[in-house]
Amino acid sequence: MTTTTSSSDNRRFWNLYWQIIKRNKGVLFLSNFCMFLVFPLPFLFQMLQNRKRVFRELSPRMLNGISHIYTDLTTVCLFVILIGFPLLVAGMLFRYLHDKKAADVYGALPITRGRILGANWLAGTTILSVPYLLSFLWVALFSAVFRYPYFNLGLMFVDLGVTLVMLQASFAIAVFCSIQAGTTFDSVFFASVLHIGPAIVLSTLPSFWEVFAYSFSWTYSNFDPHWGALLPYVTYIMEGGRLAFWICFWAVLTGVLAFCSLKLYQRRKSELSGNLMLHKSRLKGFVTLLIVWICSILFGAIFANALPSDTILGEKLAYLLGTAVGAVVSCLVVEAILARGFSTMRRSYKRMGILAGGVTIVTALIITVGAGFAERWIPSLESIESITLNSYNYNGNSIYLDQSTAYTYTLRENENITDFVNDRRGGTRSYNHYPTTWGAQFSDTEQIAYLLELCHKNVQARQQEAGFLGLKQPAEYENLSFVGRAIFRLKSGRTITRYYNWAEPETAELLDKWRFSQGYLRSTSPLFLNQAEQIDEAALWDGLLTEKYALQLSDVQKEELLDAMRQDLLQRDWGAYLAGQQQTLGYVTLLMNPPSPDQSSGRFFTGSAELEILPDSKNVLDLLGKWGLTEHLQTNPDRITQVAYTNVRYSLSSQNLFDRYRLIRASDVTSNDILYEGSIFQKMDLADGKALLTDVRTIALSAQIGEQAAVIPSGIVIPEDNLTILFFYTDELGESSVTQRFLPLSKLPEKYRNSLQQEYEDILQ
Amino acid sequence: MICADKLVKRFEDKTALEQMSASIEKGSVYGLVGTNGSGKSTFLRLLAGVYYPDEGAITIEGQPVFENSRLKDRIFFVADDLFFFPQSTMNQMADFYASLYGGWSWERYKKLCSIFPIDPKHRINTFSKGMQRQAALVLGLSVQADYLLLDEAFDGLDPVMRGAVRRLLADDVAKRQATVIITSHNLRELEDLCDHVGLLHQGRIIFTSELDELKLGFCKVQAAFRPAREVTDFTGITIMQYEQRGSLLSMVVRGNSQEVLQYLQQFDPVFAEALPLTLEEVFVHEMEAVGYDYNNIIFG
Repeated sequence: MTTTTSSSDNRRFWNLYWQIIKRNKGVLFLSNFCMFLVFPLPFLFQMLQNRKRVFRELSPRMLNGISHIYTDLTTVCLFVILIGFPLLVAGMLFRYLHDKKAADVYGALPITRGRILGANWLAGTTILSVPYLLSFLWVALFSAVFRYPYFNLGLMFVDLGVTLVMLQASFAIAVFCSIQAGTTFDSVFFASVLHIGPAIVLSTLPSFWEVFAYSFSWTYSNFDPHWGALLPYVTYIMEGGRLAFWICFWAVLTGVLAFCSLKLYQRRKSELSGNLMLHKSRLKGFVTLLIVWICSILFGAIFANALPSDTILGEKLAYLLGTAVGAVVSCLVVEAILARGFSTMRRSYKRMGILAGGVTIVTALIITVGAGFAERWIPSLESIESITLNSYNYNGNSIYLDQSTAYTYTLRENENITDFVNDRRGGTRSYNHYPTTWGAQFSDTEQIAYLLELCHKNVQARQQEAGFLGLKQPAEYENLSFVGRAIFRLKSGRTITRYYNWAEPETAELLDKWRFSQGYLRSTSPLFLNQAEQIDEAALWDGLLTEKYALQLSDVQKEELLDAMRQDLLQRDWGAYLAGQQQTLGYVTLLMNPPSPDQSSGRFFTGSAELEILPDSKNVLDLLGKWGLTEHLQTNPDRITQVAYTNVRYSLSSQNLFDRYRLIRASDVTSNDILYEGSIFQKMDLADGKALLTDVRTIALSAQIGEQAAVIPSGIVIPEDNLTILFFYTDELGESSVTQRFLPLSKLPEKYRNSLQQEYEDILQ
Repeated sequence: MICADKLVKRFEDKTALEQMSASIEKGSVYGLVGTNGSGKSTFLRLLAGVYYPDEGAITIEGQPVFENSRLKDRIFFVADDLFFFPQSTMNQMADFYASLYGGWSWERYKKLCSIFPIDPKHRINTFSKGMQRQAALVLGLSVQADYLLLDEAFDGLDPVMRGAVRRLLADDVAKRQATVIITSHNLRELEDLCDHVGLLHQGRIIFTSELDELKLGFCKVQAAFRPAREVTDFTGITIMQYEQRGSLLSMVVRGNSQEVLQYLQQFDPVFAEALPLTLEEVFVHEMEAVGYDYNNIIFG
């Protein structure tokens, strides 16, 4: 008899499932159509675009996702679909729970509630999944037809699996809320808050603790995927181990929610249908708490920023006041929304009072107890193996290559990748690919101790001074965006990352001085990280970079030159250099190759490395004297055909740990600055009738100025000072070439200085 | 047999059913009357397995109803507020119920569709209120359930359709021994159909009885006397209610109409005849007998 009943129940389950599918076939068709528009169709267009070029320009990075099949349009749309579509489908399928009349019919059906839930869940899964499955089939078909070189069926299955898990998770949240809510509005409201609320709370928690307790944050961004992974769509864009972890998390959460939904539905009171959730509900309480917590942080920040307070105590009180106001306001608003009016306010005031008061008290506890604990969160010297800091080296570079992470990449058929940093092996389609790595790494105990001391100093100063919320920084830091990232690699194998979003002035100065210390230079300069055998080309330039002399060096001479450059860099009088008191005599530039695989396994640079030859560059000057090449440092003014002056803005976009002292290099000039230069030229055209100064006297004078002026290429720019650029035009093998020198405006002859100063001020106005 | 034992059902701060107990025999047509909010619909929902009781128990043939799919396959509930899927036709609804109820008969469905003036291919939301009620009854009768629960089943039906539905229900009871529970706030709607009636008031059954028993205990007679007689003259019968207009006297009397007419003959009436007694009149007197003021219950 049991078997008969069970068989009958199973039949009803499938019958109900098909009934639901039949009723929603229009939605299924529409969703398939929409999905085709945003996923396979853009992919098809991408394939058609690249067909003629035989994927010459197409690298895997041009398409997103694990299997590189999502165009940018698809990626954006899928984020929306991953949350919105399950919410919509759950709203449609479980609408009967929120309609009293429908609840009568469903409640009286000869099928258990578990099977009703199961049939609806399965139907929802079908409606959600079929469009994806068909889209993946389309994409696989297009990939095969157009011979897409990165087509990988296995990875596509992984992508599909990830998508389906995320869809299920979003759907599970929506169903969980539908079962507990009495109306569809409440259901959507709760589901929306549950989708984004925990992610916002967990994303802001690090900042909250940073502000109140630690003086650092765990994350660079408040929406770092580590926390933001609680948003399904953020998980979607992650890769590797983190993706695996969060997919497992979502899968487990889906299972838990499905189980809870089943148990709740089996005892759900049908009379809830169509009613507002005015009675006690854990879901309502949790959702209200989330909203109140988020609003209290928001109001706290607004109050702390808006209310006048000169001391850290004042800011804390303002923050607390904001927290209390935010908590009360959000309690009232949530209650009014859920009750569709104010009729329940009187009955709820006690509960709201407890909630708002609780949030305020917890905040007050964190603020008061958290202070003073900050230094506990800096690792001890003994436990650290190395520290990686996001600081720029002397040449303004912070991106390194690492031999230990190199791998060989073999081009596929029809593939010609150009954007890899690679070392082509002659006659083969294999490349040595070196992934880039970011930040300077320090493993010397002395350096680590110094950095730790700076961390402690910064935290102490932060705890004592104003700027408590990071919203009111000292005036001199107003225009600086500071993000210091320190990665502590511990001897235990653990890695701790700290972001310091605020630099105390003393710390910043100490860091800046440290940048020119021997230890720092040894750890970061291409001259020390590269070996002589990596030198492919070497050249000598005059002080105005108008003439290049190629050096033909033997292996021994390369060793000698590199050694001399290293010694000069270490022995440089940085005080005079930073004060702009050293004249540039010339430059040595080295073009570096990657090391051969059997050479060092550490960090290195490729491309060009240069060293200014200053009066105190004794080792290089001696070597050049020994080789009889000193004469090539002299500038020949006759080579200069034209000269121009202009100035640049100081607001260069590059950020570094030593933002107060900016490295001004040609590569740092942004498109905005170039536009600005353009406007200067245009104005000079109008004013003088010519942009370029070609008379011999001006050229000679400019050359003299350029030679005698202070070294600017890697020097200090004092914020109050204005900077000018001298452009020197030469004819190099019949082609006009230009070099430039950065100078303080004050070094120019009065006529040009006044003109540029005026232009500078006009444009600023 | 349906058995409700000390049923309690509460909605937040309101108690809809308070220790309600009742038993309904299989194969009977049970009329449940009561004012709005007396708990009639709640009782039917508990019986249909839509609600589960807060206290007490409700069983059919000794089994609880809630989450009992085997038992619920033999129960069909037509609610007072009807539900049809949006934009659906009768045929689509029929397809839905046919796929879930084991007793569904397409043959009966087609027959019923021919009896009632409704087009099964038209969308139900275009139907009038009465037609929607007819559609719900057609679907309910096609399920051929052993227990048919009808909440305000005649609401919106015209007299012709009411008669048709009555005949169909009577036919079901006669042929399949079906049990019909039908609620109404109007006794006159039920008296031609029900064999049992119960009065629900403030969540309790305060009165229940077999209709024949009720009617057998009372009779209504009308007689004219010349000269006119006073009601106090008739000491040999128990008069529950009387009305005098000149020489014409109308009385509700406890007992058999033949015996009462025979008794009246000794007073030499101009004429004396027995009249049909409405269910409401029976209720009034029966309730007064058990100590309730019917008018206060219904209108109070």
